[in-house]
Amino acid sequence: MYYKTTGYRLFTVLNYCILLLAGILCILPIIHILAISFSASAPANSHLVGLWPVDFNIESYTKTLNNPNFSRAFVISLGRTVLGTFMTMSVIILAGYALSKDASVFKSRNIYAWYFVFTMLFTGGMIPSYIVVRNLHLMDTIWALVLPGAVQVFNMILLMNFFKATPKEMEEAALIDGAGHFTVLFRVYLPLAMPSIATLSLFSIVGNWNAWFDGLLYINNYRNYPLATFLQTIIVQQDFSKLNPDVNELKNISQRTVKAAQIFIGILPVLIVYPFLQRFFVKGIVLGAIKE
Amino acid sequence: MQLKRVSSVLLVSALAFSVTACSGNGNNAQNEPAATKAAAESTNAGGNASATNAAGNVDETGWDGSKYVEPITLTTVKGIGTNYFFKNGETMENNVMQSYMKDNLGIDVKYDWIVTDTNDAYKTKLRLMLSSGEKMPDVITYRGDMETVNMLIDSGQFMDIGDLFDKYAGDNYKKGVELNADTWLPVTRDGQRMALPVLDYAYNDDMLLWLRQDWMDKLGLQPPKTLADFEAIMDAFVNKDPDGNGKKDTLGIATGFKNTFLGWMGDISWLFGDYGTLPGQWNKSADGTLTYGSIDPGAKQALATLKTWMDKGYISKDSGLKDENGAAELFTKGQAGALVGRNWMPDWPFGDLLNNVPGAKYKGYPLPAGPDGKIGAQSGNPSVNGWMLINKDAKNPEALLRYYNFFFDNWANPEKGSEFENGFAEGYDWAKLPDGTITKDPQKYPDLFPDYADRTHLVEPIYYTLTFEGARQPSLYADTMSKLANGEAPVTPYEIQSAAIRKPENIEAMKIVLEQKDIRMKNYFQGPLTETMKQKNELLNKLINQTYSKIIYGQSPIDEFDTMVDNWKKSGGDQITKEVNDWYNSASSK
Repeated sequence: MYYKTTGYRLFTVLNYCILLLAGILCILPIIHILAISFSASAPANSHLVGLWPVDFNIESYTKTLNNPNFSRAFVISLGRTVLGTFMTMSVIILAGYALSKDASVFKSRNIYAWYFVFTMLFTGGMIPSYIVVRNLHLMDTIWALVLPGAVQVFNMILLMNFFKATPKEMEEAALIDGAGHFTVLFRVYLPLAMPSIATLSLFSIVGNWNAWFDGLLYINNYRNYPLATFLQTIIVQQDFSKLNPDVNELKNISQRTVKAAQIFIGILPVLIVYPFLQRFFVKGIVLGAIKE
Repeated sequence: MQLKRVSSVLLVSALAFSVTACSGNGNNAQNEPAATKAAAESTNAGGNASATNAAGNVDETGWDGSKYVEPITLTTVKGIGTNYFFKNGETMENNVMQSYMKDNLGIDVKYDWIVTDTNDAYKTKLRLMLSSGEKMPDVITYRGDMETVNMLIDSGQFMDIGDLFDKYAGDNYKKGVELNADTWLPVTRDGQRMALPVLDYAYNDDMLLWLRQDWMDKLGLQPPKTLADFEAIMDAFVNKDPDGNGKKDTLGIATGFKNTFLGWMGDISWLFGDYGTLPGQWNKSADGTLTYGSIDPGAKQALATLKTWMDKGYISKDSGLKDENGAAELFTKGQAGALVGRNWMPDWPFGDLLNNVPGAKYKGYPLPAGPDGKIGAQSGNPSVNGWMLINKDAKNPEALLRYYNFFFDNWANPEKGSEFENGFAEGYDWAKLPDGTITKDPQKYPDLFPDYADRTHLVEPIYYTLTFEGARQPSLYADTMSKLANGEAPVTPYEIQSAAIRKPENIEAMKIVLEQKDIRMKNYFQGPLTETMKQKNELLNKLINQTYSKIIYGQSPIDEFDTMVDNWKKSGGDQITKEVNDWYNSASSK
């Protein structure tokens, strides 16, 4: 048996080592942030905290949870993620289904397909997008965050290919039994595509949750920022060179622990969602695997 | 088969991530053509100023001497700093400052947009407005790089404010502007003044030497007069175990030059000053022309000294990887014995030092003199800390000056018994205790400061103003501090407040700065970036920083400096020098 050879065993061990190392690299920063968030501010500001809190306290968490701006941003982000994921998934399921048909069934299929692919390859860029969003009067609404990114062409193509790989015979059987396209889609294709749907939803959830730049561009009032934009504005180092000799102002600067707490609470939802969807990953985005 | 599957999963997910990553940072603002000059959403400049009261003392703008009879509207945009705290229920658009100005001056400020101003968010949004051809509000205030100010001026949407200033600016504002002969220089175009300066306290950014006094005392060291003295002190800090832990883990001076050799904290440019030049700025040479400090022969000597410091362990081996904050951390965690920085550092970040190292003491000293007796240091802010532009189409352009005047006259240095003696509003930034004394401590007296969302901060409405912090008289801070340092009793509300909240080390530091004010070396170039600078600056700065680092780390011989100077000159430096001098001659001839 090939997997009993020394070479194969060596390969397996090496593989585990590399993956372990990669895993540690991913987890260490999170532990570091966690340690800072539970530390007192003086050692945190002077980079004295490693992987274990110094002068343990939970003040930064009580402060964060009592901050109305933080909780508002959190709620806005939740709403955006739910709405955005729902919209993206609806659009790409419908479009993916239609485009998975042959040109003989869906006459202008190729034109539509090229239309989508074209937008994937060539984007207008920041300023034209900004002008479009502004002239559609979407500024300062949640739609400005959700609509421009609703059609994820790449994800749609993945889904389209998954639909294509589903045996034609199943669809034919359903059609013969008198089903329409919607019944076929919802009763035949979607149940089979659950792993893909779950995976693509996770992509969408993570993408919506983490997006910050559009919030900065399209939201005109900082009180309506989604969480990622809010965090971005507080985490990135401020320009202290413009500081004025205002004692009260200077006292308020050292907030590294609070920032850490906010980052940690910010990544929590994704950390929680991930394990539940992770099991779909392996099956979810395999392209061209044999299913007959 | 199993393997194939895993690898294809990996491949696809890698692809997916790269796609999302690409679409994530569409940060190509500069390259985008301003395609359509979109009809801007009605920003509705100016309200109902037309209905002027016909009363005798009301002028043609509707001003009766203390307020607009019919309230006028000023539109603007706002970047909120980290020092902006609001009471529960109050916002940028609706707060005590807003209603005060509307009721008492008849000026209603409206915001087209508001952004939290970190990571250049305000700048990004402004530039987006510029490149998308959006209509500008009545007033734009900007604090930051000159390049953006120049872009705003060049957009042609803003007016020459020269006549307005002469006609409407109050005496206090005019006096502050006159303190510095070059105030208008950066914003003058063809003799027209294109922006109003926001004045700030002078000398506030000047450098002095901070030493760990407990180490000095322990090792029996005397204050340094010369660079040689200072090197002896650093030697003791490094080799005589000042923190008493038995390990050789201490540094002489905390510094970091990852981004620049002219930093605002943990600064090292003063060492260049000891050899007669300052890097990264345009100094005046003996013949009156401007020369770039980074290529001055004095810089070569400074680099040689810095290299010996690196070799002897006086500075951190990581100095080339640390920015200003990184440098200050070396000091606040108790590793380094010296730091060159500004007068206000006792308030931040030295508080961290006292927390981290029990028993630590620090003290400010004058900068030591170089081998030839020279001392030189940054001249800090030229008492201007921002610019205000007024839209050509503004209905009441003079309103901004009246707004600013109000704060100069009533806020900057209030009289005893006047309206703003204790702060802007009771229950916001001050409160009165039953025994009549004034408190500014919301943590201790929650009842006197109602509706606070977060009691660790004082809510200071003055920051909500259009003009950043009301108004500041440039000379007031330094004068007050030196008065206090000389032991005089505080008299005016401003002096009493300063005496109450300033740490003694801070007051002393300001005195040192003022005593050493002759060492200031000004950056004489304050114009917009020249043509060659726009193209070459990045490259040239990289050349300089790389060569500097290599010399300090001993990877290149010190004579590499001369090669670098040649390269610098050939690759555009000579052209830049010419352009800078042309600018200086034309600007200073007026």
